[in-house]
Amino acid sequence: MSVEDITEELSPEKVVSELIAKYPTKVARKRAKQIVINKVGGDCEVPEIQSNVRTTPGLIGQRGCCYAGCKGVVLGPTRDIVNITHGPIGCGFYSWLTRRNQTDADQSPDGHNFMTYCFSTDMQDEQIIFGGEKKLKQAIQEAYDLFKPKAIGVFATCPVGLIGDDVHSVCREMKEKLGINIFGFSCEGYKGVSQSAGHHIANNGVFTHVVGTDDTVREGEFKINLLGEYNIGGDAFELERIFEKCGITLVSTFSGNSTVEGFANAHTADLNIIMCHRSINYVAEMMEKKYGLPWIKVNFISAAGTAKSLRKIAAYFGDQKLTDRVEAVIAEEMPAVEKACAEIAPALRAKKLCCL
Amino acid sequence: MRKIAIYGKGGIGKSTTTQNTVAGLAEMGRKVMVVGCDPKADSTRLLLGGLAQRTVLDTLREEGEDVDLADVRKMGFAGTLCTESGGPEPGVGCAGRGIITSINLLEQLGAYAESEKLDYAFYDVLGDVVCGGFAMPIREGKAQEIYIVVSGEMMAMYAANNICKGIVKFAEAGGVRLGGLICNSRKVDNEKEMIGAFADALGTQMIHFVPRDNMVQRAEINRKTVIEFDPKHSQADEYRTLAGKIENNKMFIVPKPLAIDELEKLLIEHGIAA
Amino acid sequence: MHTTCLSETIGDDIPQIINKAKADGKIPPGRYVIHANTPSYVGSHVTGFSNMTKAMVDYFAESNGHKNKVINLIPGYSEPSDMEEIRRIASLMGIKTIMFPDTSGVLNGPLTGKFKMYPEGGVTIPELKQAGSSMGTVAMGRLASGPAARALDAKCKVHCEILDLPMGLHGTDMFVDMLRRMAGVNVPDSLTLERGQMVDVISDMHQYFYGKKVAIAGDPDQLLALAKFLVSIDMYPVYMVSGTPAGKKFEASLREVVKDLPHEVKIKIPGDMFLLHQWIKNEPVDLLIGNTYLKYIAKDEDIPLLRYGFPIFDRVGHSYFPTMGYKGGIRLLEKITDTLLDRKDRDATDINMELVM
Repeated sequence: MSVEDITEELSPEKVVSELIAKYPTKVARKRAKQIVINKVGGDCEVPEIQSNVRTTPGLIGQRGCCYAGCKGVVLGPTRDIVNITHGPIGCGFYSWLTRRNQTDADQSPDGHNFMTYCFSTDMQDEQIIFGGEKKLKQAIQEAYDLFKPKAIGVFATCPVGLIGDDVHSVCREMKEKLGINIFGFSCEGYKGVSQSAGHHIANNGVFTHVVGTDDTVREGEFKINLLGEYNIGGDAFELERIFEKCGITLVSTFSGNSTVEGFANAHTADLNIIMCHRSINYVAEMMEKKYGLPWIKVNFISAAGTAKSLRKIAAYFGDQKLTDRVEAVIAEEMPAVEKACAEIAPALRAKKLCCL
Repeated sequence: MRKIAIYGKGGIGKSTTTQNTVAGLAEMGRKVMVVGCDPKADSTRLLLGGLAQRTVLDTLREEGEDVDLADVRKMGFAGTLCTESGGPEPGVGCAGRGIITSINLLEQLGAYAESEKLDYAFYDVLGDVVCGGFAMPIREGKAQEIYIVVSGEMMAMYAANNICKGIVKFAEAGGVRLGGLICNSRKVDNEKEMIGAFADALGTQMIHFVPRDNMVQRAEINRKTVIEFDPKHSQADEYRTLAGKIENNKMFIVPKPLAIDELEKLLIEHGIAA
Repeated sequence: MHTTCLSETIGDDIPQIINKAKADGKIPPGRYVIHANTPSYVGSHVTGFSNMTKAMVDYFAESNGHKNKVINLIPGYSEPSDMEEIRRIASLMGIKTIMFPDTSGVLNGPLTGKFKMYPEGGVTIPELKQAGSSMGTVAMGRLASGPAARALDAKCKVHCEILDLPMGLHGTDMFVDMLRRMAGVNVPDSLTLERGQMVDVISDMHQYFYGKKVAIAGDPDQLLALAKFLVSIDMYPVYMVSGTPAGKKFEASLREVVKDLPHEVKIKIPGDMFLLHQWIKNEPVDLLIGNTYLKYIAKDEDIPLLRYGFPIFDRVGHSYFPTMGYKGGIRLLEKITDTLLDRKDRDATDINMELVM
């Protein structure tokens, strides 16, 4: 379709029907559920879009794998865990710094930040044939000797699952030997329909091995954990700034700009707020069950969304002082946002858009 | 050069049958290479007189890229060339990948090159076809003929039938064909007739019935094939006959595997219940 | 079709799958499926590149019985801009070529507002077939291009010469001379002029290159060609690593390049940037050359970085401006001097700051 065609009046319905018409009948039926038109305004319900299903062969699905969800999304942004990919070099290489998670190591006394490194066991044909556990042990030992980290995470890749290397037993053995927290994730890429299986595995692992291992209760009147915010391009820094201004204490973030200590201590907070529900709801639910920690959904995308979420947090605590402070912060922040919106709005008015 | 793969249930006597047959072919003046595709690396023991063969994969591990054909191939009985893929200990790693890697390496090193003037290459493959790696020997451009070693025991026949399913898959797109069943007798009642009928049902032949004889055991204890250990023994002639039949075999087919109830019916009609 | 760790470990037989799809009529006539085995645990990205380049030969090349007046160029793991430059040199010499793989006009194509599933550039299937009837092949880069060139020689008896990448004065000379002899043509004045310009830049700027210590991380073919170039302009490539296993012969040829340097040289293949960083911490260098990942080391150690090789995530020029051939060589020299002189300006005091330098 050329630009000239697009500039002509083209209804979204027509676009969708043209797209669907190209597929074979069976595929088209499945695909039709995955392309929906969102009617803005009026009394139109937002239609449900199909997701979280296995990719239909013949369609190019744009999605990550289980390993990507576990290592790349959830654990990757934690700066002081040495995350070792147990597998051939590709998985480790392509998840090396490619998610733009920022972190501020100056906030930690030890200054540990291992995110700029790519730790991989670099399995070769030899390890596939004869097993890779020995090389994994060696990698853990080497990482420990070089960096003396507080924790090491090990992530299994497709071939590791196929040849049956037991990452968990290796982690247990090395944890015993080295006396630091070492834990493994069976997040072989082929598991589940998308990266979301990896989120779940990561959540379970972090909850089992880290959360609740440090009972120190920190100062602060309104203590929260921010879940499902990964500090892509520094988003979490902005939220940290706003929380501080509002007098809200952030105990931990899962997992943008995060540390292993924050995870360990997370259960001492008063409330979990969840941004990306898909990737992290499991931790919130487990914390609620085990520690009685309630959770609410928030959304800090857009200034209006941020204001709404801050009010939601204030309403949860039901404290007038907090409510007043939140309102003051919103009032203070909004003018700059409104000014920026006013500048850009004319260029965007009445434009249709397509979200993928 | 004819490339032949021998399959069959574990413990059925594939390696023994293969080596004795190869000995028979070698005696006839054929130049034969045996590629053992079993991590246990015992497919060439009788031809080599028990000589410890360094496996392809062990060599690759120790020498890295600088491997010579001579490092992984030894001369055995009557000029036969013997190689063993080798592989991991049971329970670790991936033996199937090992076979893929080692056959690729043998090809790179020119083990199958025309200059080697081979008449036959035999692949002796572990047990059943357990994963893609174990089907490596029958991929396109590798073995074109398969013989399945079988006996009248029920599980051996089940395994043979399963192997036939594997062959069908590869035969559809490639050139691999079944050359016949080799019955390695376990002295089951009515065995010869039953395997004959089984072969008919599959659309193939029982190319030879190898009777059970303790001489095979005796030769094995002495790390030799029967043909080498006691060339005049009648069992040696059995293997020579089998070698001759393979040499002259013209019957290469895509098998028609049996449904389970068909197979059971066959067993009832000819075997156990007959 | 590329295989992965997963399909290789479970042993999927790709030719069998392709043949079956063909037999079942799932691949329409006139359409092709080609494959290369590319499990992550064998070799590196260079191995995969090399395997797929060879697959182009294995699947397509055919001999028509006589030799066309065409030379095959296998440009190796190069930028689209370099491929363009390599072809331009050959066409200046009046030589018809078939180049594969060819990412020019594909990876550096224009934004026109019109969607094209298959961009204008690149090699075509008929060309790949005809490659089997060419009078010769010049392959650049032993690792990336060697196997394809040899396969073509074995399959269609197209004589091949395998050279280093045409980088620097000598590297480009070798390439041009090979083309000249293979095609039986003369080197045109326009090319001699470009060469002269490059010699001029080298002479003019030599004082800035002389004795500068360089650390390089890169793919083997690039590493070797770059090291030769740097040594030829009196720079000292003192630390070199490549993540790609390249064999003992490669390492020996790299050591040969630096054997007369009046400085200790550390080489590790396969080696990684962590090791390179440790070497630099022990004894720093004047210049880093390598892919984008090196910027973390450059920042940590405050050493200027020249982005070169694969991958470059954070700068655009590499797709459009070559570093091969004489013109590319001039650009590489420009980039080296820019990088070094920018640093000199940055570090200059009010006292020794100079306009002319």
